[in-house]
Formats: sequence, C-alpha cells, structure tokens
Amino acid sequence: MPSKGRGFRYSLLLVAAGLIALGSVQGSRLTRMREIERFYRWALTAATFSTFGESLEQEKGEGAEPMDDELFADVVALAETALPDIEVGEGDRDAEGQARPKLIRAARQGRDQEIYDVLASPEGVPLAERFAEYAAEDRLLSVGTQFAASQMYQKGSQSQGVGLTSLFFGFRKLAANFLWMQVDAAWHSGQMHRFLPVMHTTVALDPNFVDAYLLGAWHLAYNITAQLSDTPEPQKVFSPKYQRRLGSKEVWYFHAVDFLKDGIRKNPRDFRLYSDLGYAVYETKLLDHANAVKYLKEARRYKHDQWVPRMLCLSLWKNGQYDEALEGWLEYQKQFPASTQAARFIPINTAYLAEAKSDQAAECAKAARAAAALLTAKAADSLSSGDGTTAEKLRVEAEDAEKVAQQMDQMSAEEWEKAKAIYTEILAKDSSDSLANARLSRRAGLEMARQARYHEAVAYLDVARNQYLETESFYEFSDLMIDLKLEGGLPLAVTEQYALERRREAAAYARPDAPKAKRFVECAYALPEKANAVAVPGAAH
Amino acid sequence: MSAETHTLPAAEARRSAGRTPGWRGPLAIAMYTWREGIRKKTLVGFLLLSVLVILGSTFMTAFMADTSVGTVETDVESKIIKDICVSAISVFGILITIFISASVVPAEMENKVIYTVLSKPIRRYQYLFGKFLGVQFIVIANLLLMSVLFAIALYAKERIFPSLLFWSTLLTYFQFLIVSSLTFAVSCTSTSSVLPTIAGLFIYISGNLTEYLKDVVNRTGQSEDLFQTIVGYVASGLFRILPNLRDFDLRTQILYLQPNDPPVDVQIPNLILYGLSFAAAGYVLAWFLFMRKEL
Repeated sequence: MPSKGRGFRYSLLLVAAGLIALGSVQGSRLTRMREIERFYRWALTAATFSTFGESLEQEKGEGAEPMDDELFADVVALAETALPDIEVGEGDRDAEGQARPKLIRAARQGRDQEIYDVLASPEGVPLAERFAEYAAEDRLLSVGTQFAASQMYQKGSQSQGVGLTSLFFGFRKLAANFLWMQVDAAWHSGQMHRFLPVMHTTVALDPNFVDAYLLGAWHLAYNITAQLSDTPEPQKVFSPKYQRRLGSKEVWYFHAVDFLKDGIRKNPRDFRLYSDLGYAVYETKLLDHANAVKYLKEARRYKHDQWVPRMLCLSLWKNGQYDEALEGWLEYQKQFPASTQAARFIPINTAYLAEAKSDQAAECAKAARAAAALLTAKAADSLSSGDGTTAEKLRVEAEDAEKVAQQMDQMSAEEWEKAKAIYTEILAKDSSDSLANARLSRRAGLEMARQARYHEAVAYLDVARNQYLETESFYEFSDLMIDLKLEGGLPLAVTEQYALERRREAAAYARPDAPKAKRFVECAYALPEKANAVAVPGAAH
Repeated sequence: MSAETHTLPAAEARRSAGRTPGWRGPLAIAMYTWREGIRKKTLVGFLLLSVLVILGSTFMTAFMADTSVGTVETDVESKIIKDICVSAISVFGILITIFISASVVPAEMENKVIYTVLSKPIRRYQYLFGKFLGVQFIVIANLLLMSVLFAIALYAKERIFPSLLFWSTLLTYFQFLIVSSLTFAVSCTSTSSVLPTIAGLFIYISGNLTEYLKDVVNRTGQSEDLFQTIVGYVASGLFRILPNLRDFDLRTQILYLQPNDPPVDVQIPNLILYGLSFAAAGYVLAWFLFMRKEL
C-alpha cells in the first residue's frame, strides 16, 4: 500500500512536469506569435514611411550598421511572390507613375490578414527571426519602444530618467498617464526644462498615447513659439536635415514635426497624427503646402473627421493643385450638400484653375514668340549665306511658332474671361470680397506689365497688396513685384534685394526632387529659365 | 518512520472505502469556500478599494488643466479612465486572487476544520478540487464585479458599451488562474497563509519579469565570457519554463484596439490553453504536495 501511494505521487509529479512542458511549448508558440506581431507592426510602419519616400535609417549613429532598409527590401520581395494580386488603387503609384510594391499596396488597402499570413508563413518566419535578431542587436533604427522595452535603456532614453521600476508589471500606460499630468502641470507653471523630457518619456512609456503626441506637438509648434519673436531672415541658419533655413521658431516647428513623425512610426494608422502634421504644422506654421498635401492625403485614407477633406482641399489649392482641389470640393459637396465652405471654394478653385491655365498659356505664348523670333533670325542668316532650303524650312518653323503663340494668347484670354466672370460674380454678391478683388488687381497689374508699363504695374500691385492684406496675396504680390521689376529692369528696394538673395540661397539648397508648380498647359516651346525665382515652399517668406 | 505510513494509515483506508465518487462533495466544499471567502474582511477591503478607484477614475482628469488641442477635444480622459481601471483590476484582482488562494487550505489547517472535513467520505483530491473551485468562484465574481463597474465608468464617459471588455476580462482571468493555481500549490505545504501570500506575490512579480530574461539572453549572447554564457543558458532555460504573464498583455491591447493591431483572434485560444496548462500543472502540484501532508 505505501509503495503504491508513492508510485501514484511520483506519477502526479510526472503529470505536473508534463503539463509544465505543455505550457512551455505553448509559451514558445506565443513568443513566436508575439515576435511575428512585432514584425508585422514594423512592416506596416516601414510600408507607410516608404510611401512617403523616407528612409527607415534616418537617425544613423555610431553603432552597428543599420539593417532596416535591407530587411524591408527582403520583406517586400517576399510579399511580391506570396501575396495575391493587389489592385493598384488611388495613391498606389510613385512619382514616376510606377505601381508601388504589393506589400505597400496591401498595407494601404488594409489587407492586414493577408499580410499577417505571409509574415507568419514558413517563408516569412526566417525574416521574422532576422527582425528579432537585428532588434536585439539594436540594428533597427525604426524600432521604438512599441516593439521592445529594451529600447528604453538606450542612450537617448536614459537621459530622460526612465527607470526600471516604471516598467514593472505592465503598468507602463498608467505611469505614462501620471507623467502626462506632470507635463500638464509643468507646462502651466512655465517649467519648460521639465516639460520637454517628461513629454518624451511619456510617449516612450506609452507609444500608443496618440493624444500625448497631439498635445505635445501643439505645445511645441504653437504655445512655445508664441513666446518667441521672429528671427530675421539673414540670421536663420540652413539645416541640412530639414533642407530649410531655420530661425528660433522654425526649430520648434521641426521639433513638432519630428515628434508627430515618431507618433506615426508607432501608430501608422491614426489619422489624427497625419492631419495634425499636415495641417497644424506643415500648412499653418511652415507654409509647406506640398508636405501638407502629402500628410493630409494620408489622413484621409483612414477613418477621419469631417474637416480632414476640407483641410486637404485648402492645402491642394494653396499648393497650386487647383484641379484636384476642385475635384475634392465637388466630392465633399456630394457628401455634405449644405456645406458653405464647398459652396465658396468650388467657384474659387474653378477660377484659380482657369487663371492658372491663362497664366501658363501666356507663358507658352511668350516662349513660342521667342522661338519664332530666333527661328526668323536663323532663317535670315541662312538666306544671307545662300542656303535657301534651310532658310525656307526655318521660316516655316517660325510661322508655326507664331501660330502656336497666337493660339496660346487666345487660350490665355479665354481662360481669363472664365476666371474674371467668376470673380465678378463673387463681387456682385459681396463687393468687399478681398480674394476676388486681389485676383482682379493681380491680373490688371500683369496686363500693364504686358504692355511694358512696369512702373505702373508695380505701383498698382503695391497698393493692392496692402489693400487686400488679409489674404495671402501679400506674399504672392511681393514676389510678383520683384519679378516684374527684374523683367522691366527697374531698381529693387533693399528688402526686395534681400528677398531675391534668399531665393538664390534657397535655390542653391533645393533638392532636385523638390515639387514643382503643377502645369495645366503644356508648352510646345521651352520656357525661359528663371534661375532666381525657384519656388521652395516657404523659403521666400 | 517514513511519511507514507503516516499519510495512508489503515483508518484512512477504511474511510476511503465508504466515499462516494461524483462531484457533489467538491461542489459543496466549493460553495462553502465561496461563502467563507466573501465574508473575509481583507477581500472585502480590497474590493471596496478597487470600486473606489474605478469609480474615482472619472475624477482623475480634473487635475489636468487642459485636455484639448486648440479647440479640438482629445480622448485623454477616456484613456486615463481605461488605464486606471485596467490597472486597478490588475492590482486589486491579483491581490484578491493571491490572498484567497493562499489562505483557504492553511486557514482550515489552522482552525482544524480540515480534520472534520476529511473524516467525511471524501477524497483528498476532491477536497482540494472543491477548495480550488471555490477560490475560482471568488476570483471570477470579483473580476466580474470590477469589470462591470469599469464598463459603467467607460459607458458614462463615451456612451458606447465596451463590448471588447469581455475578451479582456477573460484573458485577465486566465492570467489570475496561473497565479492562483501556483499560489494554491504553495499553500498546500504550509499551515499559515503568510508564506503562500509572499510566494504568490513573488510568482506574480517574477511572472511579469520573465520577459526580461529574454533581454538577458540577448545581452549575454553578445559576450564570449564563460560566466556570461552560462548565465545566458540559465536565463534561456528559465524563460522557456516559467510562465510569462506578460503574454496576457493582449487583454490591454484588445481594450485599446489600435487600428494597426494585427489580427488577435488566433492568439486568444492559444493564451487560454497556455493559462490552462499552467493552472492544471499548479493544481496537480498542489495535489502532490497535499498527499504528502500528514493529516
């Protein structure tokens, strides 16, 4: 009897050991699932950032060679073969018109289950293992605390006072809340030296605390800079990282940009981060309309608030993408027929589109006339040298150029008539509408310049820009005045010389891939180069 | 004299001949444990504290001067309510679990009730199962009560019923189940609830720190030092064997449901199986240890 009892007890011990082994095996499965989950989250973030054309290895330090881009390229290659056909939807093409890789398309179209299945497949597991290996070796710069708590012990975080105790028992979110309350208290008591590091620690503890990112960026871009004065343009310093000249305010704006981008890295599908980055920082503070459009378009892809498409349309308009802005407003009006904003901006964008076509057609006419004059001169040279055949050929070409110029002039006039009709209609309802008045004044100034009445044109625009100061026409008119003075050979004021110098400086730093003004009319003849008038968003302001 | 001659005396063998199989005995013990448990002042105290914290979470944001970005309201208040409630459920839930799991068997040994119970026609494993079941009834009841209050607090704020709270509560229970069963096993070796309570807290803390063993493995793997290598192997072994309570973090993830979260449905059944494996191991260990007990 005793020996039987002993045997039974030891068999119980064996059963317990077996159950622990089963738990261990199950634990290994769960560990692998969590690793694949981290890998999946990283792949989603990487796909999002590559859509923006941004490298995953932006903050290269002195450590081991980062592997982000290489690993992501391998993931993209795997997805190319393993994912089923993914249709090429809106925004799924790059700047060259090429369809983006399948992984990026799938991520943008929310085909999460399919992505997860590929990453969890036997072909995906080696990549997940490489991801875990690189992350353990701190060779993935795009990995943050949302993936590995060990990231918090890195140099940057240590200086922010993250202690091990804060991480105990999975109460990171609660610790983040209490820290956030400290941020709030520090902000309201003006303790900036406490506010910033605690804010960064808050989001390090809780990377999904999107509101902390939004409020933090708002403090950085708006509240801190409200106490600063503008830096005079010559005292601004060019930043290679941001490709911009930065004053004290701009430095904080870019702190906000970096902070929100960090939030996007950890929450790549939260529209609020994109819309705040696009509208609140790029559009409103940095006047960088191209980047505003980029991020607001992304915000619109996810579940968003009603105001996001409106802000996108405004940024498209300010960025000179009048056709897309018009399309956006029409779509918005379909959804919200009672919208007063749509009712105002549909005619305005229609007029701007017509005006842009008119301006561009006028430019094309100018280019065609210049070409015609050149061809005529060459024909005369050929004739004088006795080459009648070439002279005749050149004469015919010159006639063609002149015809193109006339067609372009006609187009310019027709398009302007369309725009003018809309502005007149707006003014018929409200004669003090500054936007419509400003546009009509601008055109009047251009007409004077076309008749070589440059002094008159400049004086007229100078009066108009101050009269309609509440519109953004002021900067546009100022730039136009400089262009007309240069064209007419008039002397520039000191401030205008500075502005011109700033344009030249900005042009020297301009990226070759910087967005160019959208063209609605293609010129048959090359436009004259305007080396000193390169448009870099915000640079001339 | 060996332990076996004491644990299975002839009198016990005679008694066991008249015992009835079936589940009425364990169920009766479970109900008795439940009735006794809900009367415990310590548990009622913890429960009241948790209720105060959960209901008080809605007032926490009053300390913040501003929770809006310009004119746009944010979700900070809802987030803080969620975080405080989840933490309160975790803290008070685990304290209730540990205290009750650690005390049910030692308390009966201390006041000698166990001798009366075991003199009835019931086997030790049935007694133990009844006690374990009773503990689980108490844990589940407390967890449900706290979760319902949490749901009410959240509903009062957002006007949306948090249906995903069910899955979160379920996973929280399986996390508690692991701690409960292992604490219960330790309590079967003791005549006082102090040691099992300390052991329970230790199990919870170490279960939450298992994740860091992986970091230790990674760090030691970068060194060629023999001692570091040995530490790495030990850490790797422990990481595989010890229950990792952080695996249940999915319960929080479900509650927040970020739009970039991966599909979670595959993880939930695996986590339940994981919890059940360690819980069963804990119960069988408790059985083994209880059989060795001289009663």
